[in-house]
Amino acid sequence: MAKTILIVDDSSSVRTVVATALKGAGYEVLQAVDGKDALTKLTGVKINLIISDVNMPNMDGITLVKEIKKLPRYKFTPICMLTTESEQSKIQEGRAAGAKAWIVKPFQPPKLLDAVSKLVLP
Amino acid sequence: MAYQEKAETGNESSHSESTSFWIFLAPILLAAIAASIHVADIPALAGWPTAILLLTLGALLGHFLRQYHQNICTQQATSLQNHFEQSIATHAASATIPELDSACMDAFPIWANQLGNCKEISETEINNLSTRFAELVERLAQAIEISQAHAEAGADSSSGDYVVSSLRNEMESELGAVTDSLKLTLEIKNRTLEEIRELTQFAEELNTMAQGVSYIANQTDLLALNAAIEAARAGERGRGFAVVAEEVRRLATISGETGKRIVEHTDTIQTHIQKVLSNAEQSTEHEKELSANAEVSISQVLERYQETADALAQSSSQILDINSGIRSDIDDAMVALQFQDRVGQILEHVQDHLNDFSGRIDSTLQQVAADPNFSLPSAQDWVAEMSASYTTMEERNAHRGIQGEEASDTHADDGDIILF
Repeated sequence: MAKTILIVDDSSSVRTVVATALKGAGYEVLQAVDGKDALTKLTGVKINLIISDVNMPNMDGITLVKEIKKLPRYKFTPICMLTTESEQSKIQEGRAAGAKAWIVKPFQPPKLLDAVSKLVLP
Repeated sequence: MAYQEKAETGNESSHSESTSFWIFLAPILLAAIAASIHVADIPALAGWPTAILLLTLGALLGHFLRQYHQNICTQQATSLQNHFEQSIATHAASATIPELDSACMDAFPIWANQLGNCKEISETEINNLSTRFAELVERLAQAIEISQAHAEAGADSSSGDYVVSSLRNEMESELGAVTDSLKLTLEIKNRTLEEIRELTQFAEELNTMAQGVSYIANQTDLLALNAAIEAARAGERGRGFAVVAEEVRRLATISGETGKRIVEHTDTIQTHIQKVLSNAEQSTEHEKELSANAEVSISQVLERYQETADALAQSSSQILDINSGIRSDIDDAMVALQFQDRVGQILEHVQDHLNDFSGRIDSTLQQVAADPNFSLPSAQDWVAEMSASYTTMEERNAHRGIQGEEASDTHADDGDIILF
């Protein structure tokens, strides 16, 4: 059974590119446009990995990570931040919130898939 | 400061007015004194020179005062000119700043809107482009998968080579069985021919035997004839013997005719056997030729198959290379398509900063109007606040004035993956 990955990004083009790369590798993909929208997708469905942007309207990525950690069903779901941010302070903020990885955009699809294969829950 | 200068200029002006008053008043006063001396019955000789002297003194005093007045006027004119120029500059500046403020207030929101439009247009178009690209990638992936399967089957890889050689061996084995079967058929046919040839010999022997039977019949007939002659000489005593002789002759005749028929039949059989043998030999020759041709054809087919398989393996290898190249191009295109996210963020920040700047100017002008002593906020603080909102390395580099290759050097972390 294919593993499911939730992509959270306010940029439609980035969501499309990430989804294309993941679908090509055989993953099922769900999409959300920001943190708030992502929380509405976490309604009991099994998610093997969450890939989230940091700077988004309504709810940013760091807040989303903190909110997910409060959800009993999803608190152990690995979260990977995919962002243009490369400031050490932000990276540490993400780590402290509970993210498992930090990828700086623009990403190379093979590198992303390599990281996903290491992070995704069985 | 301007007020102080104005006050000083006002003092100089009043001083100049009092000096001009005395320039005109001094000769008149001296003339009046001279006239009063003349009128006061001073002796004429003593009164006129005194009056002339006083008039001369008045004239000299007037000239001195005039020179003094001119100097003062020159200084005042210079001072006034400087003051006027300063006033013009101050006035110009005070007139220009509100116009600039107004222009900025009008222009910044327009620029912000234009940037917003740019962002929206580029977002819409890049979204369409990325959607089409995703569809293209999906179809391309299907095509690659199909070609990959074929290519891997015929590729010059260990597994591919095994498939080709295995198929070739299978074909060679099956086609070899066909030629073996043909060869066996020919062998059986040859054995049949040999047996037919042996039958010919038997037929010849039968013919010979039949001829022997005919010969014996003739001889028997002759003997019976002689016996009949002798029986006739014997007269009545030989009558019985004559009957026997006659019967023997009849049997000999029948035997002779039977022998003839046997010879005729054996001749016919021999003729047919010869025809069958001849046809069979011709057929065998033809089949031998066919078998040889079949072997050559099979060999050629296998050779061509090998060539085709080799060509397929080569083209398969090329297909694999092309597929690999396409995948690499797709990856590069995926990286390039992510530009909109960064550009969008940068445009959004510039738009926000323009709107923010416009609001700050408006707010500052209102505060200055309300309180002339209001201290203007530091431009450096504004710029620092602006830089705090950056989210991309490009913005930070551009803010610091780093561009081009120098900026590329600072992007070494793009695409890097940090696993916590």
